[in-house]
Amino acid sequence: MNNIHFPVYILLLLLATAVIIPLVGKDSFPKIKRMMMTVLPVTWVISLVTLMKVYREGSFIYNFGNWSEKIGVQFVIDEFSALMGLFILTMAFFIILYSLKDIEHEIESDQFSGYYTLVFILLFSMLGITFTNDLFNMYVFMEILSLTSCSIISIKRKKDNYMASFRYLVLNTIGSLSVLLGIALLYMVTGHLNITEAARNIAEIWRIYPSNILVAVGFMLTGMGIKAAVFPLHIWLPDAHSSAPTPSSALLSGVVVKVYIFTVIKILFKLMGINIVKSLGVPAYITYFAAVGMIMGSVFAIGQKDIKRMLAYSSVAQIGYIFLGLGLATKQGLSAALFHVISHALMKSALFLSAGAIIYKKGKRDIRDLDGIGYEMPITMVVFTIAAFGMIGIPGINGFMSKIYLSFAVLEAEKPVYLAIILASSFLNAIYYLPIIISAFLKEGKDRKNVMKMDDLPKRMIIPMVCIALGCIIIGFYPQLIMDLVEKAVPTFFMGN
Amino acid sequence: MEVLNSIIEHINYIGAVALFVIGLYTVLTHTNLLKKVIGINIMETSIFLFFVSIGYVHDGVSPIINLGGDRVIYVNPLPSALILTGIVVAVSITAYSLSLIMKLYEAYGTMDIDEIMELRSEATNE
Amino acid sequence: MKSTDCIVNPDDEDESMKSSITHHKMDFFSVNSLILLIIFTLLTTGYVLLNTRFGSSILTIILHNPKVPMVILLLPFIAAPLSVYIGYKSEDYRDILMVNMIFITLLLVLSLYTDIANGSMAVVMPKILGFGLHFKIDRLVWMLMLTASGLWLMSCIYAHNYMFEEEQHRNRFYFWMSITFGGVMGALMAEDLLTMFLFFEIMYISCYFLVAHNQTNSALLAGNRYIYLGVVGGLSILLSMSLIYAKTSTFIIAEIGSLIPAVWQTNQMFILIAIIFMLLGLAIKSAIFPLHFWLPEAHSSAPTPSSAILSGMVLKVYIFSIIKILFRAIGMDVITSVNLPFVITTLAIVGMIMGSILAIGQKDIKKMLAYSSVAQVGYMLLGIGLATELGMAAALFHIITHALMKSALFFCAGAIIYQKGKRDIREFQGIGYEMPITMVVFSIAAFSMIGIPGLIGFMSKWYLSIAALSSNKPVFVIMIMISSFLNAMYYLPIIITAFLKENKNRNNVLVKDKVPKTMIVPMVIMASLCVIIGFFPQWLMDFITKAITLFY
Repeated sequence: MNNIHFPVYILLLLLATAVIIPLVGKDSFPKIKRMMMTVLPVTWVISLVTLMKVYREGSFIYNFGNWSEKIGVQFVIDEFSALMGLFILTMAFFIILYSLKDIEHEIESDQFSGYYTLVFILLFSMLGITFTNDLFNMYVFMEILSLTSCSIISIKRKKDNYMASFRYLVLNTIGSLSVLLGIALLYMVTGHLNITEAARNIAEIWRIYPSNILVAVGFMLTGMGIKAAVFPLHIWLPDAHSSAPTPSSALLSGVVVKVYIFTVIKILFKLMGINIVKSLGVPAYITYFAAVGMIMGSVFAIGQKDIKRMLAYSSVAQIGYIFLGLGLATKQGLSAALFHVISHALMKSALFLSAGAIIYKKGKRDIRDLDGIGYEMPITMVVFTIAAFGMIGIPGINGFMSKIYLSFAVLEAEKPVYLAIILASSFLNAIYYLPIIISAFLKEGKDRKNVMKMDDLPKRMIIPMVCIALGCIIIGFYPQLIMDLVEKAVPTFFMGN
Repeated sequence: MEVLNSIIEHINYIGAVALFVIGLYTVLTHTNLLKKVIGINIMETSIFLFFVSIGYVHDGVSPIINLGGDRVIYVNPLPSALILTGIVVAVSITAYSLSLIMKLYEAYGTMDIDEIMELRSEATNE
Repeated sequence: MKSTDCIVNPDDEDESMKSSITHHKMDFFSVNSLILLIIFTLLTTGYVLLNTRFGSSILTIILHNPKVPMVILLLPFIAAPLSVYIGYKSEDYRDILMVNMIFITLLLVLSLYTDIANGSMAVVMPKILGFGLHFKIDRLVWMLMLTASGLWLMSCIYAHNYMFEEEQHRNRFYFWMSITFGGVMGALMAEDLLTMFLFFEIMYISCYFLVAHNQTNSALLAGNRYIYLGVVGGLSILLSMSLIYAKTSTFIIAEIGSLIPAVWQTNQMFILIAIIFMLLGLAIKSAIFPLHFWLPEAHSSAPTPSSAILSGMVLKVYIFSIIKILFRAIGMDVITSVNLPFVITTLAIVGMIMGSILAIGQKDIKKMLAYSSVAQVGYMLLGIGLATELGMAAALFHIITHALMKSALFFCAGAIIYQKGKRDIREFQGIGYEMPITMVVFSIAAFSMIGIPGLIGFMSKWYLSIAALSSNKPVFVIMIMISSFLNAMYYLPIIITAFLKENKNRNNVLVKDKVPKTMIVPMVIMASLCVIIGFFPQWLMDFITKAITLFY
């Protein structure tokens, strides 16, 4: 149980599964299902064991092939990356469980094996980004991630998907290239690609080349901003996330975007170090953009008629919350941001999955057609309502706690203006989530009377939704479950200072 | 004269930046999807150029044992090795985007993004 | 044989359907309610008779249990989903479940008396919501909890027949009734701001579903207004909470109370903003005059049993929370130094007058009652704004008074809607001869509102006037007079039309009300309480006066 190789095994298992899935054959979907449903729990357990090990024995470093960190690839498994790896796998497990049934409805049957290959490569690259401590390796994983997420969108053979996917690809590539340029600029002054080594060098030389480092960070953050859909750079997100197959939407909105946020955190706090970042004045700009995004994302969401598009715009606003927490550049801010990463992943995937269930059952995407649907699909709509209340910030659901933590962090940093923005954004959230709940439960349906019946959905779709919604409530009432873990993870970014 | 000298000294960087800007300009302004992809390729090339030229050491030789004779100044091999990976990534992106363009052409009968947008808005209006 | 079976069976089902619709004189529900009533009388008389050392020592052993408040809190939340589940099987059993649940809660609340008679009882649920939930029950809270559970019991008994005939989606109604009950209990007991906020939000969401229950366009519109304003109010309370926490690092009201004076010295602006937003949020939720505009639509479009609890109790919870926060968390010194009492009393006076003036114009009886609630909130606020113990006692007395009167009035209005289907007060000619019991109850409650001596409403006005005079503000007494006069202007015409005008369609011959007993009994109980306490107000007043000394 004391194996240092465990994180690598996770990656290898995922990659191997991705390779084996197409070999199993196109017709044997049940076999693929069985395989995935064994591999995912196994990786989950390995990841959990790794996390326990980290908590027991402290973080450890994994050098690939024992190359020195100056030229080799290095993984750092600390409280942060182990926790986030576990988080990614947990969310992926529920979403993939849901997708097993839903995907039959979304794409053609000859694409199943292709789809799951892509999903597993996606998971592989996300975990890679989380664990890696090497800038170029990070870039490569990011490229894999963006290619697979584009393909996941375009796998649905529709015109809109091709267009959304192309736009996503172009912008993502521009983002990656700008990150790569940033990496090159940093390499120029530090001569290191390893984050720890580079950070040590930057701490020594940043006074000599401040503009150089500022430009490098600027390029990197802009690139990451495109990928993480920070407000003015979000234009690809609504199309991409709304046209993708629903389980992928949940994965993209809930987890993939968060992985880019992890890299931003790594760049800001691990590579640059908090003091340098602060004296370069970066955090202030991040908070400005975050605040604008929080408001504008919600404002755009209000106008949407398509439920998945609305959820996608809401993601833009929620990413604003996370970046606000980062931009405060304090421990509280970072913990609040990480807490919101997790709670938003739960809420948004619950929302996407329930929206997917509605589309699966009723074929309706327009929010004006949802009258009385709460009586036709009560479980689905209760899940939706819980998650939506979480977004609005009703206490007892995790969204409220992340708002509370964020408010405290904002006040702690003595920037009370942002408190008002958080609350205004919550109100805007209410404006677009409440009408759906109201029409679902309080308006008579056009085709049928509002008589309660159980959802006519496969169990495989209901169980993940209900589990995630329960997760929202449990974390809502006992936020320490997550907050304690997060607070252990945060100091890894503040050690150098 | 100094200015000229510094330009000549940094010609690789200037070239890289110029290529980057040209590429970005192409991506953002051209409506033809194929040209956008070409623009992306130009951007990629610029960064590869930039990255590789970082590794250049004046008077260095390629870092292969005994090739340089007695001289011990080698160029930095790491960027070149990395850019090899970068080129692979770039090629796969290009391939994927070209296949997407093919699909879009099949679907809309055009490669011009403005025309595609027009077609799409017509479709939604109906 | 088989075919005849097939023919007979549906008939049987039809029979049973009919019987459940028409409700025999002695159905399960009435029997159950009767049994509860008997148990209650037995228990109270037993307690009074056994109120010796022996009896109370036995009770203490049985009832002294620190877990009781948790049970009180959790019962409604458990009963709510259960009621939906049972409701699909049998509506009668669902109603019986609800009434029994509330009755058990009532008994549990009563049993708490031994704990809080001379002090208070604190309960902590650690770790929940990250900061733990803190509850504290003192005499005042106990009194309001008792009122709430009594009111809910009456409403649920009343709702049994009323809802069956008048409304659809009854499962949903009982579900949210129950959740609201839990929210009210929690908000009353809450000792820290976060807990308070949690239960506020639970309350406003569940009340939203009660308000928009009819699903008519006007109800949905009223509901929309209600919930969006509720969200704004909630967010403004959240803002204020965060500001207070930032300076004091605690949510617990008593601790805030001890820390505020020091913080006030250094951060006046900060605390002032916090107070303003807190009051703004609470003012929206408790419909204090300029922010009352959501109330009339919301309370009148809700089904009558829930109108009664919305006006009777839910508003009061927010007002009680204002008292808690102002006097225990913020503290008298800070309040007086920013001249808050003046602001509050001004708002109160304006509300008292304007609420009544707006009520005069109303044609719909439930809307009129709702506007009257706006005016009555003004009375309570006036008592609070005097910032003396007498004023507070008067305000609390009026909270109870108004709960009794307003719920009686709403019950009567509901009975009229039930029997006659009329909501317009101009069509009530001679209704007193058709529904004598209902209209007598209505008259008692209305006279009480106007302030006829011998009824409870008079006493609360009396206490309020005394409080105003003792703090040297005789102007307020005049204002109370004017407001009472305005009350008379809209209540008296109804009574006059009901008893003294001939109906167009029928002669004014006295007949018995054709309203089920389950609806009559709650009305009569409320009205008789109005009279009894009206004659013996010192029972309640002594209790409140003692409670206030223990409150701080």
